[in-house]
Amino acid sequence: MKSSHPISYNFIMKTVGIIGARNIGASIAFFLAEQRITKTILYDSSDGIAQGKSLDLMEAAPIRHFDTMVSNTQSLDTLLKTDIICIALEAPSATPASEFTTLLPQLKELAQFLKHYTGIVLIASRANEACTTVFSKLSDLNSDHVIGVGTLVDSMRIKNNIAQELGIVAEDVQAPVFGMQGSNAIIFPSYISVSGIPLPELISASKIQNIIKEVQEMNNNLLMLSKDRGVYYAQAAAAVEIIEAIIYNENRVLCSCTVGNFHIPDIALSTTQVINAKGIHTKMQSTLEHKKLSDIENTANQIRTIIGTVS
Amino acid sequence: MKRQKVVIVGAGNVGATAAYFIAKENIADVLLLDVVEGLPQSKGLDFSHTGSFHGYDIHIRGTNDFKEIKDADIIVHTAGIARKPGMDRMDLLKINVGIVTDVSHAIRQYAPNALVVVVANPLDIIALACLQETGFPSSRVFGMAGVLDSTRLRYFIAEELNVLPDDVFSMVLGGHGDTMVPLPRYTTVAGIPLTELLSDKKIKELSLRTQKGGAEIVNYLKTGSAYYAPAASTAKMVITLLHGQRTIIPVSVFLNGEYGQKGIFLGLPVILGPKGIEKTIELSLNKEELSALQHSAEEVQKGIEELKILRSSSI
Repeated sequence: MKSSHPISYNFIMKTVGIIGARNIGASIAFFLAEQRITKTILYDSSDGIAQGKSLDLMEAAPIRHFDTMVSNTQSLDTLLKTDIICIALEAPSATPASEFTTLLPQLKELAQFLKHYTGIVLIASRANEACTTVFSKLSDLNSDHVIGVGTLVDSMRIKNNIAQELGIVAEDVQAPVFGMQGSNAIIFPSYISVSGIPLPELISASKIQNIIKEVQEMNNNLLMLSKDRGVYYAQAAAAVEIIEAIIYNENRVLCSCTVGNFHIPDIALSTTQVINAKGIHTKMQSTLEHKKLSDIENTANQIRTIIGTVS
Repeated sequence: MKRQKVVIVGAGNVGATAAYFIAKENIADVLLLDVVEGLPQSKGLDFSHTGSFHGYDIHIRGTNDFKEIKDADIIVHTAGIARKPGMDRMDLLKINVGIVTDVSHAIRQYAPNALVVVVANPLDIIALACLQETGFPSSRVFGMAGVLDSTRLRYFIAEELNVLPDDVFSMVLGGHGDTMVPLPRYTTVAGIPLTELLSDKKIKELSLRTQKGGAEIVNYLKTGSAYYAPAASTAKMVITLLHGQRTIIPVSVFLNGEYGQKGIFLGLPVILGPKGIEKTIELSLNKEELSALQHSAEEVQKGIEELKILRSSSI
């Protein structure tokens, strides 16, 4: 497959370090290799996983025409020179809270280790808003440089479901999702549009509500189907969308989370943000905050509950 | 599996650039057809020489022979002349209607199952002439206008907000000309209504710039008109059709009562699918928007009257 992106010949290829080489991390490396846009270094705290996955990927290169390298390292120090670090730790479990609790010790260590990192950190783990909040706080990095994939994955899912309902291509659909990933995602029908046409002009209100509910429950349903082995393609694709926006300095308007959105200083909440090579360029929250601030406050409290008292 | 075939009638700048964008997809053979001897052949050959860089599996060729459009799946009609100094609307119309009439007869004879994308101007009138002369169902003859007009508006908005144009969606309806109707209420940035992001004054300014978008380029070029964005917009429609996808886009479409209009082509949102126009979508327009659309339809109607006069005088 050829990349659809125009790559100029003086383009200096950026390096992405991926911490966590299980399903999410390896899928990110896979999508990046297929797009041929970065050098990728995989790291995993369990010996052998990063080595095995990177070698497997590179052995596909002659057939899939990657001209980019997916390598591995057993030392986190190697990753300090990268342009982007993507944290893709995972511990599939039934609830975001239990997943977060399992990941917390590693997350704390990484936050300490990356305190002076000069690139952009992208959090792709599940329990995303909680992980992003804690990492951002403990690493003390500039909050514009710590981005969580947040509700981008829910936004992709809703686009897909609406496209299927209407029998059209998903790229015609725009659907921002606010707050946090999963069952508590905040979705406003009036903010979903198809080629600019507000969705309520195309689908009945009850059908829209069904689609929203389905998307909110999607993660739980997929987890159940996978027998709790985890769901990861959409999560990885969302991370790659953000990595591309950073690498190409695109000023893309993407749902994602960073600390400080909606003027809530202690929690990373998802909203539409403009992302470029500098990380978060601007927020694009529009008048949402006046409309549904109570929903947002509730979501912030839910994330506070998941996090508990981390110091 | 038989490879699909796209014929582009008119090997000028719009036609040749559209051929480039379509060929780049590497999924359909592209044939450039023009009456000027040697011109389409030279462009086809020149493109073919880039094959080793582009990895083309498809063929791009040029011809002067109408018979070669045989079995085309999609025909793009770009052929026509631009208005020259001293020429009035009727002079121009006469020439371009003459061209589309010949082309339509050839399409009817050699490619009776094709979808026809009309690009030549005056768009809404040429599309009507093409529909009448091919005798095709109106689902298979439609015009490229709204995609171009809305891509211009999308670009202006993206530039103003400093965001990627991909993330801006907009609807621009009506005839392809000064009376086109940009719809701010049907314009969104990653789903957020434009009206929440820019002031009314700024939106009006960008809408006006969109309406004059073609003229702005002509003023710069002096002796030519825009072709990159028109070709890209044409290719976008063709590529959607080639991939067998369905999409909601503004297209110049023949109306049979929708929006209170009958017997004219007008830019409206449609579902475009592998078989052409599947459905015209009726938006809940407010009074002001409806009246702007009505005004635009009246302008198109004037063009149709001219077409009638032209036809009656040539008998």
